[in-house]
Amino acid sequence: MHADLRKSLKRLEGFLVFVSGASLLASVGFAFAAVVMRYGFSFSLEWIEEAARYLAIFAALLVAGPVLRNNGHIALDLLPSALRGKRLALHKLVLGSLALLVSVALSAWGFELTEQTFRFGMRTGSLQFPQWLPYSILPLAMAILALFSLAIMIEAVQDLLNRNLRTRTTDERNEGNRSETAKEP
Amino acid sequence: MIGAGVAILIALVILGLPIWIALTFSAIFLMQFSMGMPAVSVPLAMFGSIDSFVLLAVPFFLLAGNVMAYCGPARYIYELVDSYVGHIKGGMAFTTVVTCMIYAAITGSTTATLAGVSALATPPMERAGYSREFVAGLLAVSSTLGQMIPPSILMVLYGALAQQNAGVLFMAGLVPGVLIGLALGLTGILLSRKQQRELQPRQSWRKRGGVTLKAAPAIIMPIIVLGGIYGGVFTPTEAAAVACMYGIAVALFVYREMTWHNFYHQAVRGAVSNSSMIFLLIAAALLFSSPLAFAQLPQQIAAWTVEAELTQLQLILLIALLWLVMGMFLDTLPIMYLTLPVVLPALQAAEVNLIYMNVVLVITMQIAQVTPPFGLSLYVASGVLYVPIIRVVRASFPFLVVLLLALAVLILVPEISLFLPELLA
Repeated sequence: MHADLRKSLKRLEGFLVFVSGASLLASVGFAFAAVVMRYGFSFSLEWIEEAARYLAIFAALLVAGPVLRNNGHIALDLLPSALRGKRLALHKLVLGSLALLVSVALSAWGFELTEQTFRFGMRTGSLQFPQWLPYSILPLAMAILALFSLAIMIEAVQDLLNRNLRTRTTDERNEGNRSETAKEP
Repeated sequence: MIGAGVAILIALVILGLPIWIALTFSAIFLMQFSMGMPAVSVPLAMFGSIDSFVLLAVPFFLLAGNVMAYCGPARYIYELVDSYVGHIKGGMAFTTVVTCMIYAAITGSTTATLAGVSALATPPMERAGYSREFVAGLLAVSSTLGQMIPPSILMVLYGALAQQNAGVLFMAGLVPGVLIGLALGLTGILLSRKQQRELQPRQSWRKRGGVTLKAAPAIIMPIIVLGGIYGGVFTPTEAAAVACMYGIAVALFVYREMTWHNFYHQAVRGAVSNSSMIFLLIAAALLFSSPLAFAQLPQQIAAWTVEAELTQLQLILLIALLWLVMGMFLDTLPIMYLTLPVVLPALQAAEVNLIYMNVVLVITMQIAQVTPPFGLSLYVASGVLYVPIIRVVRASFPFLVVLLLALAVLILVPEISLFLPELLA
């Protein structure tokens, strides 16, 4: 993959992880605040639970693309571990295409759901927030996943076109990106 | 049509596609062709399945565990246990198992426990004469204890699926977890008595008091979580948020070991990655279960078990066997989410206690992590300790036998799991 494109993808990944991490911490903060307010001030806000929930979902879905690129989603690696060189690249191309297909479908249908919710003016239970806002997390996250799937496909095509592939595959080049706890719990 | 959907799922999983994408692909196929549902019902069902306050406990416990593991607090546990039992012959193996028990209870993560405890235990154990192979086998099995000892993420997820209170499930896992830990520790002592050449001097009570004080802030985290839930102070999700804040405060102000690198790049980054993996798997698995429910597959299986006149024990053994076989090839979460929506109605029809079944599930999942060819713990131990996988498999075998015996005992004696929840009810 072109160095600039790889750098841009890395920057996007950094940005997504930062936003996702901040959302998760905010979600923890809201849930903790609920406990403090209940016992410290004998006071509880109904919307806190809802806000914590949506923030955590946002945090989890937003990084689906980077996690896919870093092989962080659980998968049976029986077949890929037995493949080398161009066969592995072809395998990556197939997996990337399937991921792209699913992510594009989910993004399009998610957008349709968001648009319908917007049109009907639906609101959330406690926050009385427009319902389309939390629903828009899914199409947004799946569009980002589609982008990362496309990047995987481009890498695989480049590997397929590379005559000296036997030396290093993109998987090995991406090894440094892997999160340390990628396949937990 | 269901058969075609399942065949597509199996083919995609074998192909190596991430399991959540394979599940979503197969579910979309089934929902479009056998149920004729509108396309918007797919994102609606996926969003609805993760939009739950109970499930928030998962990312919160992941973050709390990562903070405890990477930002300092959990590090002092080995020193603490070693000061009490390190002087006994074979005691270092026992120390390692007990450290894994406490470390896993604090972090809730098999990988973090394995990586963390191996860094602490391997150098002194090797110096004392233990083979690295033995340490790898011992750690591979002991690190799975975190799934049984509360707070356990697997139990939170099981609770959400089976509609059981996570606090009660945590209590059910406490006694079996401690007993399994002790059994593994004693096995470790028996197997390693000949290996340990050098014995450590017995520590003075003054020194023991010092290390206990040092490790105390880390150890009381699970006590705060369980005490808070059982005292009715907070819900499991709120307990997880309190655990996060507690871990951050202790790492920042007591141990003073938190840096931007270990907090953001290790703890937070790891927590969001794993939350993404778990939430998407839950969303996809529950999406896949809707065409199965539409075809009344779980009800058919429940009716079959009634017609076949299976006793409770036979049904439990059958399901445990299914989980053990699947565990040889799949990770714990896909097994849970693929099988539970299908087998839960059968278990309910047979009036099996679902709290006890939670313990049976968790120990089979522990076994799944150390059974070849795809036991995750075996590979992590092999990678962390640079021991060939085949040697890790061989070294972990005696401990795997302990887990299998524990499974048999826990199935045959439900009181071990139910004693504490009934006492506290």
